[in-house]
Amino acid sequence: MRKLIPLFRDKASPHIPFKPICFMMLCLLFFSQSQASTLQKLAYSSQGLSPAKTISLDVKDELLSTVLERIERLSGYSFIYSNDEINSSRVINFHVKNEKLESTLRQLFSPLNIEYQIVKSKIILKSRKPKIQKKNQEGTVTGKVSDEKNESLPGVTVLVRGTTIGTATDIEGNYSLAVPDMENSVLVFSYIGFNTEEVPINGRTIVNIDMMPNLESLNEVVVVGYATQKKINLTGAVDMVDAEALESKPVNNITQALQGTSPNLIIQQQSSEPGTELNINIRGIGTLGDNSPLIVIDGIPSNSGAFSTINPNDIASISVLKDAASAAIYGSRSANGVILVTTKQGNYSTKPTVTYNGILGWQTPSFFQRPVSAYNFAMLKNEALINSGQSPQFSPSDINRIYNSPENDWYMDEIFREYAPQQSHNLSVSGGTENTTYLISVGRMDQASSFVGPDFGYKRTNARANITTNISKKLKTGLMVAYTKAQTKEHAYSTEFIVADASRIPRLYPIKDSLGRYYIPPTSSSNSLARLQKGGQRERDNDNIYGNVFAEFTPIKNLKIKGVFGANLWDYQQNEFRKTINYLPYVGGDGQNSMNDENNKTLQTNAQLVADYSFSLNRHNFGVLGGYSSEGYSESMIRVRKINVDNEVGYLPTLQTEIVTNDTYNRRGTPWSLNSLFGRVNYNFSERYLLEGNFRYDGSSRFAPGKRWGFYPSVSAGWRITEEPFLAFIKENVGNVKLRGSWGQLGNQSIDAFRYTSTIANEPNRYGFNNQGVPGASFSPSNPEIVWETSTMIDIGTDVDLFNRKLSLSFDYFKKRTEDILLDLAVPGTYGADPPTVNAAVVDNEGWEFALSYKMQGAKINHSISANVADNLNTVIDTKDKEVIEGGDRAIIMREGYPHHSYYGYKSNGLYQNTEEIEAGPKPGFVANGAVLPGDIRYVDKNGDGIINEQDRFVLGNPFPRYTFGFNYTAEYMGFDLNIFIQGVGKRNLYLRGESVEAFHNNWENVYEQHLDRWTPTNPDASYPRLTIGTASTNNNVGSDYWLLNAAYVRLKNVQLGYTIPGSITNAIGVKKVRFYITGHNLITLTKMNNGFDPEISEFNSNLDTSDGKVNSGRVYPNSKVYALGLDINF
Amino acid sequence: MKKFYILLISTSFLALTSCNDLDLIPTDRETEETFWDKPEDALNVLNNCYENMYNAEYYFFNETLSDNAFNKSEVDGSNSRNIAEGSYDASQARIRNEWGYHYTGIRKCNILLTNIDKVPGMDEALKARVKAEAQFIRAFHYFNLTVWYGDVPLVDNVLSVEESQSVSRSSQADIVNFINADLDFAAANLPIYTDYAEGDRGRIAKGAALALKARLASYLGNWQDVATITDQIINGEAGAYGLFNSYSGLFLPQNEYNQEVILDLQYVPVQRTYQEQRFFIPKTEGKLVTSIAPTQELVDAYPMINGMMINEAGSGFDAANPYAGRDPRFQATIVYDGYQWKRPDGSIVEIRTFPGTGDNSIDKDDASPTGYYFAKYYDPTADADNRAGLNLILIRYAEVLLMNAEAKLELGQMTADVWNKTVRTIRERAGFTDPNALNFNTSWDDTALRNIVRNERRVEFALEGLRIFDIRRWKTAEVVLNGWAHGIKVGDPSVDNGFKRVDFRTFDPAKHYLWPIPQRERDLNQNLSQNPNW
Repeated sequence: MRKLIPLFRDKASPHIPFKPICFMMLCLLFFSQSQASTLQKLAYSSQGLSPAKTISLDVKDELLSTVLERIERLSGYSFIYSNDEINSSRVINFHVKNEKLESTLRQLFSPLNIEYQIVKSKIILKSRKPKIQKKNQEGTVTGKVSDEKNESLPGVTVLVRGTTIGTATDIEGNYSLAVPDMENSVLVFSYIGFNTEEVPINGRTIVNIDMMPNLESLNEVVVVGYATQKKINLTGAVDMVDAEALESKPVNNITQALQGTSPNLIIQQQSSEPGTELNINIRGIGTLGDNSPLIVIDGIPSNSGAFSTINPNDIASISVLKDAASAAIYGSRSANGVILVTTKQGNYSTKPTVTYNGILGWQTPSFFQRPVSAYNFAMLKNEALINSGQSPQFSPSDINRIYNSPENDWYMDEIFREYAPQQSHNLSVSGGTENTTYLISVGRMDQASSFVGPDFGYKRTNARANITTNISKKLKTGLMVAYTKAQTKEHAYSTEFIVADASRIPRLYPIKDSLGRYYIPPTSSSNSLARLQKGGQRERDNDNIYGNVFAEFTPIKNLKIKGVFGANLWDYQQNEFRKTINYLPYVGGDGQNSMNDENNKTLQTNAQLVADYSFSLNRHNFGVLGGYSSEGYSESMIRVRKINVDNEVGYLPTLQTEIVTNDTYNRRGTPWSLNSLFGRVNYNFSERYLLEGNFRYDGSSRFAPGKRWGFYPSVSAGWRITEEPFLAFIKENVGNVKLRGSWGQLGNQSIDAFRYTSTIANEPNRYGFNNQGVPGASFSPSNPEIVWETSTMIDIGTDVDLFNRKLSLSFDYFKKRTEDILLDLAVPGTYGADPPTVNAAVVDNEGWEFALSYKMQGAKINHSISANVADNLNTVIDTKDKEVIEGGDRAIIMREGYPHHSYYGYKSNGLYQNTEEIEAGPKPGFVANGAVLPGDIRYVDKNGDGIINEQDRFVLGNPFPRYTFGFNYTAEYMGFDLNIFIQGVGKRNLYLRGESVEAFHNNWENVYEQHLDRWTPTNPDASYPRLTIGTASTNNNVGSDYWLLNAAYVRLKNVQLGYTIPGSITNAIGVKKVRFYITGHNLITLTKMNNGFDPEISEFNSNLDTSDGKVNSGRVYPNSKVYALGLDINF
Repeated sequence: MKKFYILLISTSFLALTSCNDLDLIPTDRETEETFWDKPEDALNVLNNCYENMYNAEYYFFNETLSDNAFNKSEVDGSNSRNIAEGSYDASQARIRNEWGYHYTGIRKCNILLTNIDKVPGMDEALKARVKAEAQFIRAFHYFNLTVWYGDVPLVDNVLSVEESQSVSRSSQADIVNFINADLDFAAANLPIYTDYAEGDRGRIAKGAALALKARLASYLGNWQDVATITDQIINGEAGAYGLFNSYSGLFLPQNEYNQEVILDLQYVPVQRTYQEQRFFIPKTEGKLVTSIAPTQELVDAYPMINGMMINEAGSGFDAANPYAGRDPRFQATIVYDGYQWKRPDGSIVEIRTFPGTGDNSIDKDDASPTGYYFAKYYDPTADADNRAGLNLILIRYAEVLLMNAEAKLELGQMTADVWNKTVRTIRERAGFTDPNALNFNTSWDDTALRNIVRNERRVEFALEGLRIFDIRRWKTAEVVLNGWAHGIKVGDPSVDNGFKRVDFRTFDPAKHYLWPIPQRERDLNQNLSQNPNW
């Protein structure tokens, strides 16, 4: 979610009157204190001042008297002072923005050594007398804490700064605290959702304060590359998603939680199976190769694996850098956008806070194909055989028998559990002393697989320690270290075929026979249930250590020099033990057991040195940042495969055990490195005119010497138009408007290492002589000329907040052209080798994003709504006149003028109803004459030559989602909170093929309910052609838009209902906050897809690559609904 | 203290920000700069050429392109059933892939031939042999290309991408000349097979070069060349070849490298295997859905033990007991209802294929749709997943004999002597003893003889992938690949005499004698013309 700017207090809300009683108290206090001649103490009291007006002033070289007059006008108060004591003709510079009167006065007079005192509507000024240092004096402070509406605030933490002495307010908002030094101690009031207030005691025994809600807005800071920036000064397109938007969702990784939260941050999944990674694309598809964004965790470039296994509860915020202005500082890897993850830190001078978050949930698989009954199957099969010129398979007596037999369970119901549990528990402790902050967390996630079988599932353990300490005022160091263990246990086969071999089986056949033995239907050689229950398992055990140490040196004010060293070490282990399954008395396969062991280690290191300096000259504010970074990567891998191992204990060899050497390798892979210089200059005039420039200069080992270095600049500008004096009226009455624009160049180098030089792999057992394997040497394709891809991007945007920030809007338009796209451009088969990488293509990508948030605050109920919608569309501009068509019945094309990877095939034009229509229609060249019959699909003869052949194919549609949207509603009432999250895609095509759409695929497979509406002479308006088998199906099974589905959807993604126990109750047992909630995930889906498949599923990865047919054949682990209970405790 | 910090920081920064080297080299492989510096490099590249010479998928599924077998699967074998059915176009998977497969092999050979002279210190004789092996493999690719596609681009160097995008087709005559030149070089520089060291068994020998030359000539109808070359081989000029004593034993792993094998694809148990046998052996034995099924038409081609075809008067064929008294090669090749199948453990199991007889029966969806399976090329030493290490024979001496017979026949030189040296020896080895089957009959006219010799090829080489090429060169495909392919007699007696229809085939002589140039190739290279009527 675009971080929403919370409301200022409602201007229209009741003004707190200057209550007479308060005034009396004030006077009493004043008198009691004035007797002690400590006039200035009152000046620091927060009590009794009307906060009705805030003051904004921007004064340059003006007389103090003029400034005082302006404050009088703005506040309604008048100043009383003697010119003998106060030199009102001195020239001052002064700047405040939306500050309370009291704060304005303090800031104005404190440097001038002027004391002030407010009496009624008068402010009395006096020259400050030299302060007398008092001796330390213990005492007790009491007081009451209220909110801005003067309602008492229970549970506010009150702490003596720099100590661990503290307490919390009771239900009436009162507190009492023993303080060691009544003169010099400062009280720190903190409460979630409110600005932390620091109030010097100055000898008072009663300190009452009003706390202001945390407005964040003006000082809201956004994490950007290598720095943070005030949001109001941003000139790039950056979304920041904060922890709140990610919390309490029953998801298993952060990527799932991000879906729908930021416009044009597009998350898709290829499988819902536990432990699988999701696709992430920012602003769609911009290149023909790697479209994955760069992921940076706490400043260290990382990988998608680290992102998908990070503990979501450790995350403080995620910044999505979308445009060139924000991303260019990441140079050669930023063309697909950048995701910056910042983990939580402790706070200075804060008592330890312990937080527990737990979720217990149940997953239930949804989205299954719906097969017809055994009887219908037999009837339809006979119909199809007769339609195809063959004899019927089932005799009337067979059909009678089937009709009278009890229906078999459907395979898919048998291989999936109705409910599979999942749970996660996270415990963290954070806090800090005056010079040190810490956060320590542990998390445990356990998601069972919905597949039946011996405890399959995904387990993850996360541990983290983030520690910073100030060695001195000028030197700060810190350490972040995180350990992750991600374990998957699954069946030993491929999910694709477990699902396929279940869903393809007609209900004619049982999954187990009457004696409980696994049945092998005559359409299969295995039994998916047996494979799950008896077939062994594949276990992955991946360990990750992420470490990051830094030192930050501040030699002079506003200059920071930071050195960082980070390392990301992964150890991947996989063990697959496939057991021999005994299917007797049935004849089945799975007779060969095997043991596969794989170990892979990767290490990514990064050293950085960054200097950051900012300074102001009058109202000209400058910031300069420069840095150097060096990254390296190495990996090693080993794999051993054995067959004929012990069938119960896989690691035990038997006399027959053999190591399969052509599946065995010991490979130290391909290292890479990247050295970079980068910098940023920003300038603003009075936070009204904003300018920024970024650059990065990258050198990569992926290119040949002389081609290695690339330069990536960006410039951006912003105009906070409502800061103009002549628009002050609008600013005061309507809101703030910022216009911004950027231009920049970004790079992409995501190709395999050593594509610039030919390498020779010498692999064992490529051939054999005399029954002995011999190695074979093969050459990799190479091209020494390759250089970086370059994307040039413009972005125009606006950020608007209206009605005291109740309503925030933001809009961005972008256009990106990527040139020199690195592509293994298809070469003719005549070339005789895989294509070398070339800088071949040009792709345009254009789109927009719109986000809106609205907050309503009532007396008892608060609502907020946020919504976002975005579009992007890429167009292949130039591929050197090459078209690439991949696939068979489901073909995709790369063609100039169309989006990358568009579906390609024939265009259908209804079903033939009679032979006259067939005679008159075009003749498909791919079927024999006379094979087309009524009920078959008619195709559009594009070139009108009377023949349907390759020349008649069309670009049919595009699988990448468009008009993606997210909608979020929250409400809070009397401790209850409700969150409703809807997410969807407005336009997308999905091509399904094979058994997922075709009746009797492979001639014997299943038939689903949607096939009942097949063409027959009496059902001419059918949705499915006539039923056929074998050759007779050729006409209908060629790739056409008849099988292209509309995969747009709206999904009620998450609903959460929570209740927070009143602080008055929990405080009594020393607990700050207890919240229970129930939540549901993937609850309702609206889609036009009627065949039982999840419209969210994508057959492509984030690069639009598809290496297998598992999704487009419907061979997927189904998406699950999740119901969960959650508990959050803070103490 | 301040100095201490400055020192601390500057040293840590220095340590932290040390630069990574951008000149990296892979640690698991060589690069071009260091390759070709030792003879092993050339030999390892040559091994890679061998690997790409031909493959088990094409080898076995070629049979389903012909009237000998039916490919039931829509997936296995590159969906080749569409080709047999005539329902295909220039985008068909096998047609698209096979083009690239052969040019990949050609490139590998060209890389070796272009670079081998760089290798220092390589023995000249060895170098000549390696070149000859590579040139043979290259010739074998061009042979396959021109047989399928007719005119194809002639590539004798390592093509650049740009060249591959503009190269045009050379005439088949030029391709043939090129193949012959390569084969002549190979024949001149290759040893006879018995001169190879034992560890080199399986390498291409002189006999293979001559035999392939003869096969090419036979496809072109250059019968004099065929006769000359096959005579050379029969006379032992390329080594002492002869028929192996057992027809069925010829395809068993223990008999690899026997004197009949002229060229075979090398497979090694566990190390380099193929799984295709799971597609054609009985379902109960292969445990996978059967996709390669022999047709009734192939079964009917096996003569009776007396040499007569089953439909000839006096053949003794009994329709009620159709598998009795047949050519002994029938038993060695085809599994039929009642077949006694020998399992690897030596036990015998009866294979039943009639409806309702069990897991192999014709009415089971995953069983053979024709009621027949193949027994030939079943490797009993394959593992439980049917990974076999049995070599696949590409050229064997029996083919030389039958090419010789065919050439002499076409040249009008068929005599009892030729017959006895060729067909008779093959039949004797097959197990025929009836003189009627063995003796040359002077009453046969050319047509009768031609039918006999051609049918002899069909049954002798069933499942060895030669049939589709034979019916194309004989131009009989339009006859035998039109209409229904059948299975056993279990259907409606009024339809095709009760033989089960399994697949309708269409063969258009105006276009199907040449495969189309793949659409993908023409999309990427505007200079590639298309074959007639595609």
